[in-house]
Amino acid sequence: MSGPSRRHWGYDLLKLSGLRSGVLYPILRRMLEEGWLKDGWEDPAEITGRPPRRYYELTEAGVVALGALAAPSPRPTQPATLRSGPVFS
Amino acid sequence: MIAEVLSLKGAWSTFLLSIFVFGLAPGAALRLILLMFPKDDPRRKELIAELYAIPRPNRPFWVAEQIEVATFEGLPGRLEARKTRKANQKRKDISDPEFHGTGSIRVRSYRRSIAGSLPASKVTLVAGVPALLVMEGAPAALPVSVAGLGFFLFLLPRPCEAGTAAGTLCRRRARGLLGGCHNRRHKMENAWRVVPTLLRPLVVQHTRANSRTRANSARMKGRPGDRATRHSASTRVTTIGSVGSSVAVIISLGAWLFPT
Repeated sequence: MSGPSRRHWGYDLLKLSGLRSGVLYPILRRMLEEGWLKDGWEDPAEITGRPPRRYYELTEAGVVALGALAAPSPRPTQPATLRSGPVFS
Repeated sequence: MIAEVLSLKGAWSTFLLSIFVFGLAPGAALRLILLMFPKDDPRRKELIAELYAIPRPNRPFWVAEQIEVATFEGLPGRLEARKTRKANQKRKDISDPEFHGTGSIRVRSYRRSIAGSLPASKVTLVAGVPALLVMEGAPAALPVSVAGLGFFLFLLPRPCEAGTAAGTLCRRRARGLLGGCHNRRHKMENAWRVVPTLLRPLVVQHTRANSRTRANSARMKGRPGDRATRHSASTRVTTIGSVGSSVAVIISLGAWLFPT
């Protein structure tokens, strides 16, 4: 989600994330179940010539959770020392 | 310029194919794919709405991707919903005092036997008897039409559909227009329904059609739109078949007795 307060719809998210439908939609469903996202429908009175779309919006819990995921790690993830050579000696 | 392009060899077929692939097919295919989702799943409406926002050249590929979504996200929910619905139906059937079924397999095979017997009976009635009458004459047509009448009156599987105390139609298995389920009152009631109004006083004098049978038969006229009181298609076919084969018997008998 590029902007936490913005509303996005599925195809929009597909383009932004570069994921395939088979990956993105299950993620969206799980995030909805976790309460990280809320969904809704466009107002039919405001649109013409197409059916109303379903939009997704981050909840506060989602912002916190995704913020924690996106925050830079305080320690480098790579081990400080890597052993080289055969594992079994 | 478009006219010139369309005048080229094979242009029309390509034009029509592209209209189909990029115009009609994605919407139709998507709607079929969405049947894999449960009926109340918002994903159905969502994907339809998104289809119209996708650029036309990308639509076939996007629709093809939805097969994966529907298979892994929609189908499990749909199957689960179906299982729940069947379990609820079974529970409801067992709690119904009029139900004495012995399992879904037998009910399914019974439905199949109804479905299979209807076309065969219609073909026999519509084509068989007149053809025999013309080709072989009354001696051949009469036994066939009598057999057809017997089939419709006593053999064709259908629901009993006599009135129950709950004000619904009995859904137990029965055979033929005159038949009923194992409940004797239901048999009487079904037989009573086919007695012409003019003959009813005569029948009351000479049979055991009691007042309850007569009252129930009159009450169960069937409320439109109410499945519990609406007669089934097989009963309607049985009725039409009985009338038709009665006419066939009369005509065959007439042709036999009074040859031209």
